[in-house]
Amino acid sequence: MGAVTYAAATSHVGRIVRDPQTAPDALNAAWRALQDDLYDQDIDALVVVATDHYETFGLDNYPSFCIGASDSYDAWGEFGNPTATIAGHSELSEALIKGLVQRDYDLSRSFDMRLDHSFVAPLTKLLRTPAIPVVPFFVNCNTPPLPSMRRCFGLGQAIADTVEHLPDATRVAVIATGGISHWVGLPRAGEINEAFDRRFLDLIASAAVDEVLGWDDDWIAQFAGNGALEIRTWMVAHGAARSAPGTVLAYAPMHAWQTGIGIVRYEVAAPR
Amino acid sequence: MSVYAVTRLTADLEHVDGLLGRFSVDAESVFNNYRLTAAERDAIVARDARTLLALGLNPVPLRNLMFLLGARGPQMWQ
Repeated sequence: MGAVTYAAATSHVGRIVRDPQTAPDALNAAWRALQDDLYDQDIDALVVVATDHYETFGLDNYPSFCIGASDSYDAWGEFGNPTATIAGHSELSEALIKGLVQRDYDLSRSFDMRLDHSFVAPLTKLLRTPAIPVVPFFVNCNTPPLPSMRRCFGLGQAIADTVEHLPDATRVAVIATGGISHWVGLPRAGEINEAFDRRFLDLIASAAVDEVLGWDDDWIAQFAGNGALEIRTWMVAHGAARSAPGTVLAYAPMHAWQTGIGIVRYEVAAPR
Repeated sequence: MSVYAVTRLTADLEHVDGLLGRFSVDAESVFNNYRLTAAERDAIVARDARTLLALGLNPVPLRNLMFLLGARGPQMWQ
């Protein structure tokens, strides 16, 4: 049987790769730590839980959740962000689709799901050669009504449960991307709410996310920006990690990147 | 607000080869392929982010649209 043996979360702003020289050593060290973890643990596949900024999905058909079902994915390379072709894991994608529907999580699937910086920017930090195959998992984080924090947390639990019922001993990592505080396409773009970010990270570290699960989206958007609504992907990872506490590897209010950057490793229990 | 039309225009300006160039030369000819209101057309031509936001455009495609039209960062709100 399989297992979610690793879970982590990181911000995904494109400047991570477009403006890397401004990153403090602590952020780079944290990303290196995540990369080392993934390769030291011999992970078979990464489920990357991220979003989209109206590159892949538009209002012709905007899902709440969509899973990539291919063996490769092209990056958009939008607005100067990196281009790439990411190796997929269609077998795991298919298993997740079946398992999640069986567990009452109805989601869309795409065989042609191009990836924007929310997937690709973190992957440039996490992958090296040979690349670990990726199952991209889109969560609507910016077009109301959004899937609730609780729904996302439950989805993460269902992902873990599905993986545990795989016939093979597949080792899966769940990586969430997004947040923390930032404003996108609004007059307040450039602001960061460090107090919000640190409070959020404290709650993740102590696994006390009941408070986060009850946060109202209007409140989050007002105090931490519409970009902070992306923390619902972190709730997916938290659920997949079976509510394990997190270790905050780094936090920096990166004004040059207009985003509060957080990087967390969840202390996932070793599989039985 | 024909939100769908504005977001579709934005995506096409970004991803359809040559469309952004044609738009810069003759915006009206491009507009004619989208069901936009006069207020939306005027706001897009004027790079008026505040009006587009007030009309209901989601901030994320708004950011993309303004970037494509050359109004980036703080310039969006001037």
